Amino acid sequence: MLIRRARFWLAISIILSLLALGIACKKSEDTGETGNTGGPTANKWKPKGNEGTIKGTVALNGQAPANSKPDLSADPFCASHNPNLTTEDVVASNGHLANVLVYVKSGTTADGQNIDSLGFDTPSDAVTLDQNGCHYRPHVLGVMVNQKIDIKNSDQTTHNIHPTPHTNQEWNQSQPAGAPDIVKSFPRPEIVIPVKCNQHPWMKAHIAVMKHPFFAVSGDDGTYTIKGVPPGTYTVVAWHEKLGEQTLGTVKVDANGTATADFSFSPTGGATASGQRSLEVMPALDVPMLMEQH
Amino acid sequence: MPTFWRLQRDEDGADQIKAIAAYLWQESFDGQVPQQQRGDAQHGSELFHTRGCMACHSIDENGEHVGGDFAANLTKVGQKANFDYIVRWIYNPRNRWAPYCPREHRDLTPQDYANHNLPFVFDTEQHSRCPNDGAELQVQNMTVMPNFRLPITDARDIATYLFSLSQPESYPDTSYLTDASLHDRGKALIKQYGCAGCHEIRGFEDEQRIGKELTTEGATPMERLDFAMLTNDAERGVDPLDQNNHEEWYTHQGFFTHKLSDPAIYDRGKEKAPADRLRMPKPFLTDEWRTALTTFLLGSVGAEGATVPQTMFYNPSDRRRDIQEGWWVVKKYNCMGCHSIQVGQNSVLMGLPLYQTPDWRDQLPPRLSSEGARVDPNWLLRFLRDPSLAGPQSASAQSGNAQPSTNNAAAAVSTSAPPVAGANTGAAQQNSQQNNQAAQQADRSHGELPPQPGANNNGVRTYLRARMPTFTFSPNELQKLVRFFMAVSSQEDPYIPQQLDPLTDQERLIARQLFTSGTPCLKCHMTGNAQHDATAIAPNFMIAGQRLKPDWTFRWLLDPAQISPGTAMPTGLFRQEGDRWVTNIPNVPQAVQDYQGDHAKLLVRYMMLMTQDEQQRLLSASPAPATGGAAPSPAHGAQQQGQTAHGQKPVSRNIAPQNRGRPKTSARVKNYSSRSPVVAYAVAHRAG
Repeated sequence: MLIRRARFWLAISIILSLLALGIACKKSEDTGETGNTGGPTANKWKPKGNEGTIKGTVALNGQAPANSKPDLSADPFCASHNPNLTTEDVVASNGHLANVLVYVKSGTTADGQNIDSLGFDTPSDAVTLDQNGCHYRPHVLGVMVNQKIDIKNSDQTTHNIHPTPHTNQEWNQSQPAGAPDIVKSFPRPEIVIPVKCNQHPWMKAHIAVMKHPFFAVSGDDGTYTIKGVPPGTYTVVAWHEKLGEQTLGTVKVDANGTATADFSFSPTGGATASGQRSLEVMPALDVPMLMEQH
Repeated sequence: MPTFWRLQRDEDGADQIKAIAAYLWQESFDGQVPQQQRGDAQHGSELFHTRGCMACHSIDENGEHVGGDFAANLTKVGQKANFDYIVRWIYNPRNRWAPYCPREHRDLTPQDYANHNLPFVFDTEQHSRCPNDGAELQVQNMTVMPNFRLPITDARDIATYLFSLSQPESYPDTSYLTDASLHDRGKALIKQYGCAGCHEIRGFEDEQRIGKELTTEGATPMERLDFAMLTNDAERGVDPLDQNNHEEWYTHQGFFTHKLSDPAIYDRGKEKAPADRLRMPKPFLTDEWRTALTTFLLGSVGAEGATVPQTMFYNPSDRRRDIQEGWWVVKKYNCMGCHSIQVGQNSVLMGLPLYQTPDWRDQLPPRLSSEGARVDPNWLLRFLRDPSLAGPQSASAQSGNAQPSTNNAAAAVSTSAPPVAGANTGAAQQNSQQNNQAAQQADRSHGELPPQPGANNNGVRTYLRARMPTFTFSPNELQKLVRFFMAVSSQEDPYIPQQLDPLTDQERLIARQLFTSGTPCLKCHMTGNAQHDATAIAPNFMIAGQRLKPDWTFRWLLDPAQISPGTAMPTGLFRQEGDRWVTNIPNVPQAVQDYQGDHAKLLVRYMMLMTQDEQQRLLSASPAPATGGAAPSPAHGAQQQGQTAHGQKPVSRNIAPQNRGRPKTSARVKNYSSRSPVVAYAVAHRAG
């Protein structure tokens, strides 16, 4: 009898606490971009001033596969404005690989907190995604959950921005020349969301929506820098859209220190995500709009 | 195929299985399967992976079944089948070797046609009658596999690919197949075991099923269920299949369960001549399936045997019935292998590895969850009959007349095939075949098959690699499918097409600006111009008028993603201003600004009333494509010619208030339904 009564009160208290949680969640949604990304139970992370840096270089071991030259005839603006345009599948020079997203996947801070359990403030400044010269600039970008993405069209032609996420909402919006910026954000973490322009099939971007701010994208010199990382030991992942993913198991960041995490990709991809038949596997299958100029 | 475990050696030692095989071998197709050259396996692999084969068929890749499980796994087809046969099958699985005349109870031969000075041509359209007696012929194989309208070279490539997946097997001596002394014994066994209940076998065309009709089996009186020597055991609770079961099983349920577990069980304890034994073969059943079948039989009691009032049966009479009946057709032909028909239901193709990248997702066949709201039912009927939209002249290409569409087909053959030697000669042969019926006869035996109706053309979305094949639905199935789509989308019945007011000159000018500014429609939509269409990813406006419903098109323009998530068509083209929708472009031209009507509705009218001249004008008005652009691929050119020629018809249709197009459609349907009901029935009921 006693046990049954205890169970009843336990149930009631669970329901009440769930209700309270619901209200709390609702509140944080209302506050919009300054919301807490780690959920209501997460410890809000605050910089302590002893943060370190993870930096390194992403190398490409070997000759980069040639990017293809798409048929621009359908859009006179792109053809005249950027006549030598190529796809940006693999951008590398002197053995340095650009457009690699490097991020902290998991790990524990020096004071014993799992990075997954921490909550982070969403930055209030927006990240810009520009359509310029019939390419997305940047080609790969990271944002935090709910962080605003300011989408510009600097071209004198119409684009449409079409992210194809799995866990976030898909959308596809037209942006003619001179149209006002489109401001969007993604409410759920997702690595990564491919973005395309249906009118210019070579135009691709990749947006990583992160729970935390510990990510960077390698530049043309292959280098990247992740600043403000709390001391601790982390698993760091480098992701490339065509060449797959590489993981470094233990990257130790000391207080105010700089840890180096270098990555090296093979031009044939190697450890690409399994189960994905990418276009390289069947080269003759490129969809018509990807056909090279004759 | 269940196990016919009783097939063994006769008393005189003859192997019964060999006798049946010998009969089938000796009674198969007369003459030679046209010989086929091997093709390009790599191209065949591409086609197999992209044309839509894997919506139904699977193959083994890296030790896993990849593809649909609706039809056979084809990894080992090369061990079983004849290459020449498979090429012909892929080319057109519906095409029977020879037409069957139900009145004469035999397959007709070229001689039958020659006696009447007719070419040996048979199809469902103009050549469906027997030259001897005018009976409606059966010209189709009984299969649900549709015709993908592939050029013969593609069929060869696919077969070559499939045959490259397995090593040839060696089989023991098969000389008995030609042993004429086994023929009659085999025939008797086929009759005894009722093979023709499921299979089409020469000599058994009129054979009925040998099994008992089960429609009201659950209502059979107990005393008429023949437990035979087991009656006592069943009453006393002695179970020959389960020593631990001591419950009485002298019930309907007990009878069905035991029969399904061991079909010969009620022969136990009896002395019978082999020919008198129970003939039901042993099906592979899991316990769950057996329970389900038993339940089904128990419930199959008919109206009289029912213990509940008639009103409690689910017998909808309204559009719910259309959905219920159409659903059987959708399942029979595995429409969901390629299409998402219900919200939340994914097609087989959507799950394939190939379609996981964003670019390939654009190559998925269209979602059909709002198809009934989108398309005109008359158009849908026409499209389902002939998804190539190549028109009747293409179907009659089989008559051997040189037609524009035939040239089109021939051109397509040479270009879409890989650049291997022989492709062009193949096309040339096919061409000459059109002009010379005698040559056609001769060619048949040398690797040439009848020309393909609507060859190598995808009617609406020519830019898709996956192809909507020709199913040759029966008139009944066509009607059920169209009514299904209309009912699922809650469309009014009967359908009354919405009439559109012709555009005034002023409206046309404004609409033209809407059409070309902001997000120019022709940047993505096909026009019929080959060079333009090389990069097109959306349908031609020339078929919009006959195909789309204006109401739906209006809603589509406002928010396409709402209707078809993931579509390439962007949102944000219009914004609401009061109770009208206006264009959402930055610098609205003055004339458009002055227009007080709804921009989206005006654009709908403009699109649906599009004419060839108007589209040509739009194309030439747009800036010339950049130099050095891709040379138009001849394949596209050839396809588009057909498209354009076809596209000219609807214009007059839509502008003419009497809607001249409609009666034509119904006339054609009527003609179609004059086909023998026997054929329709046979196709509908045997193939599944």
